[in-house]
Amino acid sequence: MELAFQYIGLGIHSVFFDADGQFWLMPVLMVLTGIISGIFFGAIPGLSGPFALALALPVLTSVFGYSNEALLPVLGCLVGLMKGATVGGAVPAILFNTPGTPDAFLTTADGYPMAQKGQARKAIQTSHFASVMGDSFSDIVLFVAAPVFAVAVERVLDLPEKSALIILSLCFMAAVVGNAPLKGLLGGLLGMLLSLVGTTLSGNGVRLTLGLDGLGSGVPLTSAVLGVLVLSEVLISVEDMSRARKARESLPQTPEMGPPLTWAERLRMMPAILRSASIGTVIGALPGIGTTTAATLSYDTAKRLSKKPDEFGKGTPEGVVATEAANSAVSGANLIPVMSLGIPGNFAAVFLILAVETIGDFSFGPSVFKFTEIKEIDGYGMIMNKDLVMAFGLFTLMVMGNIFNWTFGGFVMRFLVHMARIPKDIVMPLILLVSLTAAYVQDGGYRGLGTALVFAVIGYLIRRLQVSTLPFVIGFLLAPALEQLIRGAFTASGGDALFLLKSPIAVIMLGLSGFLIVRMVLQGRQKAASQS
Amino acid sequence: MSASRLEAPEKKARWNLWLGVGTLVFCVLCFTVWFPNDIRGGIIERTISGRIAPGDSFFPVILAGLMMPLGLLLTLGHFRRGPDNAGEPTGEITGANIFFLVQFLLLTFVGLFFMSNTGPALVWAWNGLGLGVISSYRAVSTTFPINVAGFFLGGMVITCGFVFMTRHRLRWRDVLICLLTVLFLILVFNGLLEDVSLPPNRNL
Amino acid sequence: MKKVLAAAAMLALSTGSAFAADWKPDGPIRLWIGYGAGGGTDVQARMLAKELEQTRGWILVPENKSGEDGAVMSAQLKNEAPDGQTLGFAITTTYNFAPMNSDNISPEDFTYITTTAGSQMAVLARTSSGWKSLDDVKAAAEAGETLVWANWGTQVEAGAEVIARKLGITVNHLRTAGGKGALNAVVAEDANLSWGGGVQRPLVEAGELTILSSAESTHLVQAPDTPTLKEQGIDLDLGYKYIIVAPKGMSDEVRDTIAEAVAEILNNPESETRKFIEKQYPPAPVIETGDALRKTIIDGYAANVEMMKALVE
Repeated sequence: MELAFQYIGLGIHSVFFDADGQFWLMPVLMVLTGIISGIFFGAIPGLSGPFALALALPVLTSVFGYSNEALLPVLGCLVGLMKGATVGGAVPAILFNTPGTPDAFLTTADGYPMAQKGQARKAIQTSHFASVMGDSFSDIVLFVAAPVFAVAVERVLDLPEKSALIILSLCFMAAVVGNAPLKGLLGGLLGMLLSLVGTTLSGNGVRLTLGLDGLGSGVPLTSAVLGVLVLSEVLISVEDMSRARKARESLPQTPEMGPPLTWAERLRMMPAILRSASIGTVIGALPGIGTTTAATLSYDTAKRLSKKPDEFGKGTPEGVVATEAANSAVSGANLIPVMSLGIPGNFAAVFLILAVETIGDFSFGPSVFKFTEIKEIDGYGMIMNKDLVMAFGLFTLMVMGNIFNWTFGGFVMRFLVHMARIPKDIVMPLILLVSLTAAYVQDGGYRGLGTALVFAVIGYLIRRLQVSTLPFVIGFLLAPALEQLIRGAFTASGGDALFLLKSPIAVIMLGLSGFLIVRMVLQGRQKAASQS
Repeated sequence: MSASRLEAPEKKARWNLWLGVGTLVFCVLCFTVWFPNDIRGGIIERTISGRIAPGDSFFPVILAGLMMPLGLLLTLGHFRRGPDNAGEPTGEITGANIFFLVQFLLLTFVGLFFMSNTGPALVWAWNGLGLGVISSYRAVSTTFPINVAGFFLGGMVITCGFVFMTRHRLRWRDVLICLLTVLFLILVFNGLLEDVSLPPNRNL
Repeated sequence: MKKVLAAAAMLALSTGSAFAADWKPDGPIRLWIGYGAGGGTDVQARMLAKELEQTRGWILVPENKSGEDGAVMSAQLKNEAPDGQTLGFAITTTYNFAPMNSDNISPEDFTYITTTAGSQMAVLARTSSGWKSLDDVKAAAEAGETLVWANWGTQVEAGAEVIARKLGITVNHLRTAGGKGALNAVVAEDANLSWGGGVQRPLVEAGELTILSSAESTHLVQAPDTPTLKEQGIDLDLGYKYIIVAPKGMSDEVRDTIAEAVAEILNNPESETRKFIEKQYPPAPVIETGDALRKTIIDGYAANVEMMKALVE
């Protein structure tokens, strides 16, 4: 136990003191920067949290570099952006009936009618309060659950089980994301195949490079993800806008702001917030099910349990609480599988993993929470589990983020009324240039830029076919780890062809994966039948 | 209106067929052309230590192998239920979409062309006008402002070009916003950060 | 034929070396690092680049091109002009071993400028296993324990197999990503044995890992009494050095100017790069340059080809 406190202490210390023991505020400042820019980003219709993260990561690594010391400031900013964007998305939803981020879609259901009734201020404050409470709740669950889960999992998971677990998560994600699981799975497999381009583990030289020397080190990760996520979205927006013949409709007038939210009202919301946050947390802990599902589920539950279900959709604060507390609670819980297993469950988590894997020599996974004995060696420094210190540092940053969200967040939201007026038709071209520049600068010049463009086209086609890009991205990200695990498990078993089926746990997980695939196929047929 | 609504799902549903067949063709190409020519290692190999281990083709072959039944399912799903309501729900890619993609890539490449060639053109002009002798653009690729001239011009082409595409017109205010963004990027990546180079300075 | 041409070029250019100090880069020098950002090689290369800028006023632009033990970077470097403005930073293994598995590069494709530091190659085991030497490993294997050896590349895996055969035991090989991955595998008990090129220092210092044998031609700084593999009758030297290279055909003038500039920094006790090397790759920088270095690489390649041939037979 004492050891655990020592690690927590070191984690907190690492946020406020740099490697030389000098006091520094950089990570905390980056959290603040992230929160504020995140709120603004979320408030601009069309720009979501993952979007902000994708753009920020290459810029942040340009600024801070790849040393171990760079990780906490970068993570701080990413965490801040993630938290801020969820909060900010609600503002235009409430004021103008246009959600700033997809997960704020349901906030329009009651937030906008509230604003129309002259309760705009109350609606915004309700959403802010519920959002921050939900986020904090979910973070606390994360702090407790991730270590416990990781320790439990590390005991039972060996190489074959870890391989089976990745396969299972991928199948699960394809099954739950979007309404076209077969095509989602196909996208996941394609993503995995593309990630195998370049370096091999066997030492037999590069593979699948199409003869291009530049692909020898593999497809540049950040650029590829930037292309699939950000650029494809830019493409779709630009196309839709260029199609639209008529001029942009002018934004409606900002409605009457009305009276503020009282503390008594806040107190009365608490049970509803806790219920919605719990729903969001449970949903968030499962890979692939996103904020939108959490918000929908929570909204329906609240409506069902409410004494006045008729008021839902007509401007009841209960509706705003239900969606905002739930969608914000996803972000913390999503890090449970990320930190304890190294498996990202949504786009925001993808970027935290990318940051941790590329900066310094850290990694996420069950071994993060191994409490190695801390030893101080004269003249050499500490021997300890660096990843664990980083994990507690990350937790500290999240707490800081929540504090900033509480204090500055509400303040910043007052200015957001103007942000929703920033025209998308100018923002998108600017984001295009920033993305291309970031890909060039951070990922090996035209090699990165070209990758971003190719993956933008892939992402565009996937989206136009109404298939989720999530399985593609996650498959792309996890395949190298999976290959390494399978190779390792196979060789360490001494070349046993049935190495994956020797462990009951692995067999169960593979069986589940098989079941999911069969279910997807059947579902595809049912959907086809119901279409007719 | 109602006629087009009836037509739409049929057209869309065909995309399951295209995708299914496309996947199958891709897999066949993988197995016959791509993998044999572009992977040195086999599926299962004997390592230097004389043991059997998965080779470099092992994983790609499994992945492409798994894609095949999915492609087959999509294709069969189309035929089994007739063209009206086959398989999973799907979107579609129209000719207009492809035309847009071509437009997008063309405009981007024009921008990139300016990025790559403005600097060398300036050097050529400088030497041609007898203002001095610069051996090559590379020699001055860390000298401000010539090292950012290409990015400046190319960046303006890309941003203004796409703003024109989305708005169908370009106001002076828009140009100013683009200008400020490009200058801001130059300030950050060329001014404030070390060891990074804006396009095209990393590929000389 | 290649060799003859290279020799002729060398002869023709050797007269120019008197003007070594005269060469100056025309614009920035690109320094391509054969390994990923943030690793030990990367840190060393960037430090050196910064100090070259300070001492010589050159502009160096470092860039990471990782993959296949530096071979990916080298395949691109090979096609550049040998004008001293595109340099590569990798390890000797990149040139005396990796070309065997590559269609793209051969050791003759490069000009070898200078080495900077040397490895502390060791055979490692967890201290908790109680093993102190290779004989203990042999005893454990004969007692029926399954041995898993963590390797980061083909060369070291071949080395591990050579040792196992010499001891008359069987080991399973686990391939890891990078030197750090190999150490993590042995610490996390995924493997019992591992190689370490230098990163093991703090773990050995802390008593977590024990050095069973030196895989260099000399004893290791951290374990001066532990014998080398050669002393135990295993003809294997897996030590490597960090090296700066250029495409082939570089004039001696340019080559020697750059080597001198690097040596000046490495010999300065105040320089950050030297301090880093002293700590990470003790005891001191290893500087080998010019034709001698070239001969070392070419001979090393021949020896490695022999080793692999012997293994296959």
